[in-house]
Amino acid sequence: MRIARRLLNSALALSLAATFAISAHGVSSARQAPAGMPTIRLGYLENNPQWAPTLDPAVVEDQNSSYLTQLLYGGLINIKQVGGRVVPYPQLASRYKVTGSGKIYTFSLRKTGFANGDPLTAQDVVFSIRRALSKQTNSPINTYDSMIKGFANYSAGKSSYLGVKALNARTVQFTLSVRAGFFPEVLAYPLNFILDAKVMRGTSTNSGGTYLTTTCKAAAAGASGPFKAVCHSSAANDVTSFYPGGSTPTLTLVPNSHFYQKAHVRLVIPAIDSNQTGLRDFRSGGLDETFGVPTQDQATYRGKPGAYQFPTAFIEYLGMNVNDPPFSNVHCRLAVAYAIDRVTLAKKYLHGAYKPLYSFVPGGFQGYFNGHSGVPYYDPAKARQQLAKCPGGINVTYVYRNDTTDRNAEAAAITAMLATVGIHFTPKGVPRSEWLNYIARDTPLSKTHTAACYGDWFEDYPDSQDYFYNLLYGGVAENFSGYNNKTFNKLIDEADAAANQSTRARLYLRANKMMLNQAPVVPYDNGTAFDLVNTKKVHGLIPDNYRAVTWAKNNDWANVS
Amino acid sequence: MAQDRLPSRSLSHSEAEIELGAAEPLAADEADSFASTQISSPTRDAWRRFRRNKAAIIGLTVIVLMMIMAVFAPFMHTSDPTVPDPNVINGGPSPIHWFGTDYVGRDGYSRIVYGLRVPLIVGFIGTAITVIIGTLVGLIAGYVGRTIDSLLSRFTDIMFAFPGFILALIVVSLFGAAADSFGMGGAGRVLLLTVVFAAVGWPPLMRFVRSLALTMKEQQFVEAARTAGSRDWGIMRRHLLPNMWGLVLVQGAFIVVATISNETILSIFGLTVQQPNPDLGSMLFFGVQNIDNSYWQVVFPGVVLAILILALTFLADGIRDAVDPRARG
Amino acid sequence: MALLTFTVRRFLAMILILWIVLTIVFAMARLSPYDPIAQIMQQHYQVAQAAQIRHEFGLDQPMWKQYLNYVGGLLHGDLGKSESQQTLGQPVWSLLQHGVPVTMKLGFYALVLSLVVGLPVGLLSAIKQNSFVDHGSQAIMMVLYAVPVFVLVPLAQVVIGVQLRWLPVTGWGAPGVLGFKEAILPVTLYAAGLTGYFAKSYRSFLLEVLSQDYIRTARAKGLKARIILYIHAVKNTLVPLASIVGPVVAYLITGAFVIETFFGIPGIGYITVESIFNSDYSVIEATTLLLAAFVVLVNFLTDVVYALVDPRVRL
Repeated sequence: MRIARRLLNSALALSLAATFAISAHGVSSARQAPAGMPTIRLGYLENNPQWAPTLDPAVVEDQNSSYLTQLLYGGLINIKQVGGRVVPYPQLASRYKVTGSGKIYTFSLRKTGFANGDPLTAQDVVFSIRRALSKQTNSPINTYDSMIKGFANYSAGKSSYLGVKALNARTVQFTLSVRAGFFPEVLAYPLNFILDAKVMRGTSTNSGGTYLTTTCKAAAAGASGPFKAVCHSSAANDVTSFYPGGSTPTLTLVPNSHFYQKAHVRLVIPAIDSNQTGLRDFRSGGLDETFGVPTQDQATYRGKPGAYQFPTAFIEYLGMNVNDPPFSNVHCRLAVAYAIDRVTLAKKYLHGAYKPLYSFVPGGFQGYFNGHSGVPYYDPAKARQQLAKCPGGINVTYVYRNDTTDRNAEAAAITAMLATVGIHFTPKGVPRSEWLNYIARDTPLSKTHTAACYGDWFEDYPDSQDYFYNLLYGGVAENFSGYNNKTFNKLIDEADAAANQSTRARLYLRANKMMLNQAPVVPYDNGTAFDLVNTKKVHGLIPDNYRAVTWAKNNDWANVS
Repeated sequence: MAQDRLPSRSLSHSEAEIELGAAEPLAADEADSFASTQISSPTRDAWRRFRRNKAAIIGLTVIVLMMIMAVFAPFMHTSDPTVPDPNVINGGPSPIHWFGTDYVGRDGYSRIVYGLRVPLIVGFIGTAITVIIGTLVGLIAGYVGRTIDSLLSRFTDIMFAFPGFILALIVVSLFGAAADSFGMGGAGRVLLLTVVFAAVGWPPLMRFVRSLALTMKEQQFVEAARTAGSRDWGIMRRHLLPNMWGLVLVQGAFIVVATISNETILSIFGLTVQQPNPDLGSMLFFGVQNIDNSYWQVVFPGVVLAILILALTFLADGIRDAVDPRARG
Repeated sequence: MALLTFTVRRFLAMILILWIVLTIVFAMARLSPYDPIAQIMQQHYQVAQAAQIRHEFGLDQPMWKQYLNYVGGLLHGDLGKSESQQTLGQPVWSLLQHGVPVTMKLGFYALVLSLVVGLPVGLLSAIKQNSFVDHGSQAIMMVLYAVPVFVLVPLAQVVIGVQLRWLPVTGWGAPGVLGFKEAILPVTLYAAGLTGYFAKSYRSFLLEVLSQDYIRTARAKGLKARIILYIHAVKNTLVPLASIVGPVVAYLITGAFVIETFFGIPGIGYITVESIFNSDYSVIEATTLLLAAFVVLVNFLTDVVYALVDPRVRL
């Protein structure tokens, strides 16, 4: 019934949300949109019956929360799409410069304001960053900022020093402990979004983000982004402050008139139960946009006006246990790598909703290569040759997560393809919760005596390092195949440290191809996003690769009408 | 006589049925007509009534046919139900694939033929176990009475308090994947489902049998047997059971219907037999997700399931009418 | 007096039953091979942090202590804390509280609709036994009863919502007229099977009453007497009707899960199904307990009503 719309594999949540009694201040918020403002109904939210997990940018690690916080808050840097490329640009900052051999970033702030009229100041920035990384906030993703000087001690509560300070009311300076070329991208993550210090200080404290998450006042008054929330009740401190209790979770947004790019639409974002219901809702006129058109329905819409299909950073792969037979033998692994017909899989079984993939990182990431030159690809003859060198043949169980039709179709297809060359996989579908034990908790696979397992990944942050380090570096918990190759590890370390982007790209490409020829993993497809927009009514929503959804052109909601 | 029995109408429906079933032969004859040698007479009457009931006969025929299909599936299928075919994915009904194909191109008809096994096994074997448990516990509680009755009745109350469906939902969602590890081809999951539905189905039947036993043990033929020195177990086996099996059968038939519906409802939460093994419920689970463009993936298994449930209901009604003609009026 | 003793005894039994139910549910959740912590941490599992969360949830304590904590919490009205990633640490009740009225409202609407349609159809069938009306309506009711609701729902969504665009297919409780419009489809489909069940059962109850000798004789006496008789017969079906309360409650609970899940209606059925997918067993435990309490309460009330009607039951 339920199809996961969620692509994002979120990081771990550590903090236990603590509830705080918050005295109810009267908040006047515009309940009515100005007359004549068009309303757009967006299908961004996957229905978690409990609302988006959080609206506190500092702890965002899932898609739902990410969309909503990106509409409500802005960062010094944000990301927009230019052509097919994802580029960082100064958003709440007007410009920035890098000095101190790449370790000092100085930002000049833009003239923009919070929804309640407070102007943006350097103090707000310092407050927001310090709050996000503090021990009290206990953000599960604060390590994204670990390059900021003093991070370790500050986030552990051992020191009050953190490498961010206000030079004057409109200038902020970051000092990093290491050179990190991707620091601007990191600042674009909701973790570093800017909150109104005055609004936040007015609340007793906020360790778990409860105030921001469940109190509409915060999203109505303290919004630093293009929109602010319309509250259902200004007195309530739970979800009923956003929408009536017991009704479908819905966020209603109106433009933040103090934001520098003025939007002129009202957004209504109801939670959608599944891809199927999202599509049905769109077709019945209940939504102006739906994302995640079900795989089997995509052919109906492909090429029609308002139908957008665009790449995402979601990859799927098959991982093999390199520590135990049969896959401790490279020939056995290569036999599998040569036996999977990625094109048939993506085009026929998955109806073109996925693209065949040979590289381990998706397009747009450093180290990606198009096509399959120099790496294993579909070739039954070579698969049989390799299988002949595989002692004892291959007759194993293949664990996969069976929570969607797509995953089941892939497993059925792979099993059938392998069978034609004489490799016997017995598919074992497990619920996502159990699959997590194989790929995250009890890793590597040798621990659970599992020969092969399905794996997938969506970037935590848009950098190849996230894929190569987490999933293939020796000894890392997420590396479930157990691959541990010194040359590979060294290449990744070097790429990490390299400041020059083209050097990084070259190193990642080398690591990628070298690893694929040893085939601890067989990447086979790259997810795409498929969105429908009612273009008769809505203008200015375009595919956004970074957010994996149709979004305002140039991340500027003034473009949407 | 009829006037005397009027107050009993204010009892619950099930207790009213009990009186009807147990009292009918009593009213007709003297007590010794209950001697085991003459039991066949009401049975033969019931069978005669059953044969005259067209709907019931049709129901029975359909169920027998479906069972034959399921048992002889290896001879009935047109292609391997687990082998995908990328060239006919989501194909509509055709001369080759009568019922169309599914999301990886497996033949719908063949999957239905094999997939019928799951609801039939869970429904019939699960019910058989439930009926055995319910009858035994009910009989002992009702006949022996006193402390044992209180203990068993309270235990039944506890089981009764669980909404059966929720209990099945929890058990299968908590232990389903673990069960898959045992037995090939989804057999572990089928076993789990069978056991679960057997475990949740019996409490109402136990109450029913208990009240039957309570009523019967007061009657003359049981008293007579007791005075003649028969032991309790013998009385239960020779006198009580033969007199209630018809009514128990009626209840059993309705439990089969309920079990099969509940089993297929679990399937829409993706909790029954897992892919690639064929199962009617999981066909519906995947078909429902694809209904916007491949209606046949829902319609064929859905219709087969509806026919199965209808047939079972007809059969159950027929058995009830045959065993207990007054219930029909 | 006997009635009072009976009621008190039954009430105490009800408490005992609830305690045993919660113990069984607790044991099942703890015996399950799933690990809520793995679910919380998703694809980034870190041993030290896992241990910390385990500790914060008290999952590292011995089982008996966890059990005492759980029961102790329940006595204070604390149903536990959510163990899913999205709602980590929130009181389970805060997740369920808005769902309870939704489920009750939905079930109530469906029950009323099915009674309003089902009983008259059953009555008509019984009065016109073996006529065309009888066979026709019973056939329709039989189909409603037998076609699985989850086959009916997506078909109705596609045809009525998507093709004809008559009614919305998702959403619940949006203010104003819209909220009512959104309820039509789910309530109707929810009521469909129950309507069939009521029509079918009511027909046979009525026939059973009508078949009794005294009624049979009176039936021959003329129209006016017959009307009086029907009224009398209908009165006499009330008690057998009460006997199907159990199956009806079971149907309503099952139906809540199916309908809420299909329509994305944020009632407790849907919340529970979501929590199964999220391995949030604290929510599943709480829902089971709530529903079991509901069933036990219904049984208790039924027993008391029977005892009122028929003194023999009080023994």
